[in-house]
Amino acid sequence: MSSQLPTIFNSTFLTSGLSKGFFEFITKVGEARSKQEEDRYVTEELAYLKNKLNQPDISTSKMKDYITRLVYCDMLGHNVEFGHIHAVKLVQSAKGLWEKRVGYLSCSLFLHETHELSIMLINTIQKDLRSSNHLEVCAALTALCQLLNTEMIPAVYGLVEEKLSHPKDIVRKKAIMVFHRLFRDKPELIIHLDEKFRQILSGGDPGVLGAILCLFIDFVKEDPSKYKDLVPVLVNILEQVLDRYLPRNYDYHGAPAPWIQVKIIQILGMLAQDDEKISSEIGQLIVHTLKKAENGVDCSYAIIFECIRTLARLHPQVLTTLIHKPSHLNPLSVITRFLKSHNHNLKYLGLIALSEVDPVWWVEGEWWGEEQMRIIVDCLEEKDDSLKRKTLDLLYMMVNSQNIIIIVEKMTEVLRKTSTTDEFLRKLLVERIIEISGKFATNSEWLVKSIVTVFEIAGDLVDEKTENLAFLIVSKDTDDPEKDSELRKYAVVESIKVLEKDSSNISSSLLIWTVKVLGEFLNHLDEKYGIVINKLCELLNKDNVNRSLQIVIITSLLKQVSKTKNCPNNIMEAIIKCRESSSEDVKQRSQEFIILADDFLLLDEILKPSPYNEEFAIDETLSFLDEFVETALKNGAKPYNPIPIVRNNETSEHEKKPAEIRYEAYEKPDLPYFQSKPVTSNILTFSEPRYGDSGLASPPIEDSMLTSWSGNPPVTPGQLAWMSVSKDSTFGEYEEFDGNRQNRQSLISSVAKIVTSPNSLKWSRAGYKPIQQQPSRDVVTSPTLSAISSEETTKSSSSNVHPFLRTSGKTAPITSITTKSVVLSEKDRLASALLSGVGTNSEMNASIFKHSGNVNSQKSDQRKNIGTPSYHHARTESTFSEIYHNIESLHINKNILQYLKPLQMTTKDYEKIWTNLSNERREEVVGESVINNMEIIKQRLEDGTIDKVNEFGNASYGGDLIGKGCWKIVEIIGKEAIAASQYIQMKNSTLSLNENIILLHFKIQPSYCVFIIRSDIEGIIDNVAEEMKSYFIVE
Amino acid sequence: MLRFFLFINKQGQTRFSRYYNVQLQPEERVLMEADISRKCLKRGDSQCSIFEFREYKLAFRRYASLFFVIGFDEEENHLAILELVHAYVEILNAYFDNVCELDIMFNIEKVHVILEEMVLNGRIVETNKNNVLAPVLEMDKTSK
Repeated sequence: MSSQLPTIFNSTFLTSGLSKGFFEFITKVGEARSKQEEDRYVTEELAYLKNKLNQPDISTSKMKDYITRLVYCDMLGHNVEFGHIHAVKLVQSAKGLWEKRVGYLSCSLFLHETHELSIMLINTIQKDLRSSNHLEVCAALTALCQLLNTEMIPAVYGLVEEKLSHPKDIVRKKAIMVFHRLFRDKPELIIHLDEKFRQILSGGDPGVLGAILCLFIDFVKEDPSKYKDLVPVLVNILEQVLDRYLPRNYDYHGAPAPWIQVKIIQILGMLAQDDEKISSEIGQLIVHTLKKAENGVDCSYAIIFECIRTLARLHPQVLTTLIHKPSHLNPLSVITRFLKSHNHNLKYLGLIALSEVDPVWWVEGEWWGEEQMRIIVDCLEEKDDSLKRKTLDLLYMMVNSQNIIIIVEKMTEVLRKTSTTDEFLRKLLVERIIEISGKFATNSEWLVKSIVTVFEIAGDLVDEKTENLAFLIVSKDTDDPEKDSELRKYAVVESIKVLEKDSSNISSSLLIWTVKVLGEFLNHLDEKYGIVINKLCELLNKDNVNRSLQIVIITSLLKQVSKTKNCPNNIMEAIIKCRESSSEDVKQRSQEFIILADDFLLLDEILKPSPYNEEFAIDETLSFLDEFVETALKNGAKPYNPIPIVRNNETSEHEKKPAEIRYEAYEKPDLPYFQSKPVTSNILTFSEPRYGDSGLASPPIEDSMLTSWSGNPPVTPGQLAWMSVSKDSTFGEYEEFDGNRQNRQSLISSVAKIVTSPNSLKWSRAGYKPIQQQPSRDVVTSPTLSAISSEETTKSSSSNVHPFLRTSGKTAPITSITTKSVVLSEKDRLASALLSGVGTNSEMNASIFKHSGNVNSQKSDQRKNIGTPSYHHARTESTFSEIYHNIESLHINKNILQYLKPLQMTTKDYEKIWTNLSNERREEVVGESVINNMEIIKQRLEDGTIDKVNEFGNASYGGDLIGKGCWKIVEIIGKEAIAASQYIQMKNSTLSLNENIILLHFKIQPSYCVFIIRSDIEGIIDNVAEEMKSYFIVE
Repeated sequence: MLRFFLFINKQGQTRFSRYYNVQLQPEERVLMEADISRKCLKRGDSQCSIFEFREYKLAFRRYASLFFVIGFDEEENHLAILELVHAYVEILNAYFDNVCELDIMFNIEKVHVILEEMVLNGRIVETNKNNVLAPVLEMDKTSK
């Protein structure tokens, strides 16, 4: 076991500045095999710390060490309340910056915002805010974001406000965030700073941009109308970001400040909502931003989504002009690309983007067709619940009277299949099915049947609201009385069917619904009257019958008696039995029944009009009491003094009504008690001892948690493999792998060979490496390389196939569609049925026509682009020779090698420089291009040839981009090669050609090859050259 | 709004957690974290990295044996959060020079502080690697 974690003498420990105790504690916890074992260590540690912390004169560095351990124990769910005061003390006494920061950190983690100890921090915070060291100021401001409370505000407000003009942008940034926090709690306190914040926003300081935008998002969310004048400022910032005016280190993977873009687009969207002028001002810019993001990598997807969300919010007039374009110019058509993707994250993006857009716009822009519809329908069968839920939302959005039947069928099917543990989803489905059936159904018989079906499947989940809704659907009077009576007839027929079944198997909500229906409308069907009444009586007197059901039956029977003016003996007998019921309510109702059954006139009076047919308007202001109150006041009563606590209406009515009497009796109780109550109760719950201060009793442990612990190998914190490879790239690979099946096969088999048994793995800080010998030519073993291989072995041994090899799974859905023609036709039917639903009813027929035509033309368009690339080809050929020429004339190799050769750098240093400087755009391109080129690259690595130019064809860089180009190895180090490459991108829809010079970074593994694109070559070279210079100086 | 950051390993042990405005008792927190790690483990490689969990949305990525999870509210840009996971890991990676689970365990306070530089009040404030690391490196320098 000890071999898996570093020993005390190991370098990690020596350099970390950790104490021996800290080290041992973390190591023990890390090695714990079960939750109980971990708990035991933590409990021991807490006892130790409690003892230590209570000793006088502990040095602050020791204190920091102890407090960090407490943070760890707190994270693991243990009570560290005894240490809270010590955390506060650490802040007060800290000398070093880290000690201070850790002190503040632990306070923000431990202390509740209304915690009494936080008052003790006020002085120190004030002192630190005045400090000349900006890092101390930052520490205090960061803590304020978490700890600010009502008592602190007056003490720090002025100081924080000053910090808005601090010379360091990091301080200004944090001060803004303190105000952000203040806006949440006391928005009225920052109104006068509005102008200041606007200045900061338009000041164009990139350092505080992220923070100030957070603030404005919340401002605009609160009241967009106040900030409409900000549009030009925001547009200006967004344009500058897009044109790369921000310093380069704001780029993330090649995209300029993606999070800032997202925030600005979000604010613009909120401002443009329902505002035609602003919408028209920003419409084009958003489309432009979207287009720019389309060529990017992972982080651009966020921008694309935000753009679509904002587009969907634009004023309809503006949006119409933006999307009434051929499909490749319509900004919304980008959604199709994502829907089609086999990568679930991208598919999810497609679905959520679609759900932001009103279905009206789907058909408007002429990009929507059966193809998209089919994809959505297919998603319903996905195992991935994220996709399924989103699809259900979409179906709910697009439902109308044409497609209601098919959608409800689909939803019911999902409801039937969903596991009973997912109560949330099932409940949502039940509500939605009933709601949309009632709204859109045209066929009464179907409507009643679908309601009954839903009740049958998930009756246990129907709450009162939904059940009332279901009843309202049947009982509500519409404009069409004929239809109403038809619907009611069906409802009665179905209800009788339900009653005839064995009632013990039927959920009570279904029974209640049927009884209500029968009570109201049984007279619509005369012939079975007697039988039904008998059934009801039988049900009423059954043993163990549900009380609420009993009540409904009594009411229903009463209604029928009132309608027929006849009370048969069997009803009377059943009711009399109910008088002995243990339920007060049932007793009361049966007694009433008996009285009313004798007096039909009174009965009619009471039951008219039927209460179910009207919705009650509740008079919350109790205006009907006004007169009463007025007279009372005139007679000398004191005015009602409302008590400032939230109570339900019933009690307040109760208090209000007998004003005079009550007032005398309750003069005494003082209000402060009520006012302070919420606060004290808060503190109480927070400081309530959880399981003894000593922490000896362990918290309850769930069974399932135990299994998850015991089933696994001993806890071995392993290497976080080098991120680019281990990124588990769920993004980044979305091309088809249809060709090269053979290659793939060989790849799979070669991977299978390298699966090593767990015993041959050894742990070290740098991760575990396979014991097998590294090839001898690999002189410099970089941790990077070993990390990658370890990652790979974990992956293959846990049978998680490497992303490259996931192809077999990927192609499966396609084949399943083509083989199962029955399923296909079923889906076709569904897809076209759903399609007909989108858009307005009147347009329906026209839109079907338009669509089928449109889809065909769209398809043939694409075929033209891909299948007949005559123009394409010619252009490519000519540029190809140009590229060839260009790449020969590139000076990359000279430049870099000149600097690199004399340095004899290690692979690790080399790697570091590239990652730091290469514009941070790393992208694994996998699939065809790599497979095709791998052999050549391997060959070259062995030969060491670097001066040959190679072509690569048809590598796809995401979606519909196809690249063609050539590459040349510039440098080989160990098993890695840097190649320069130039390639053209072709977009099949636009035929636009992009020429890029990039660097390809190949890493050869036994079975596959990763190759990383580094774009923006000129910039890199400059940066590398610059960096190398500093190396020279050091040397 | 972001609700929490979690690092959980495959054995279900929490290695790092930070909550924003989530009122949970420690026991509930531990149970929820165990629940989340189970949910993450259950999801296949090809399944969507964003999913619903109780009232939250979760975005997660797996790096070797560790799950990095962010919980957030529906209104957030889901894809931006998913990318934030990676940005955070990249920054940790830059600071710790090939970050591993042990780095996180032994330097939990630094992991916290780096996060504080990126996220405040549950909002993404800073994602520029240099800006995030500058104060941390400066503190390291002065304390040496």
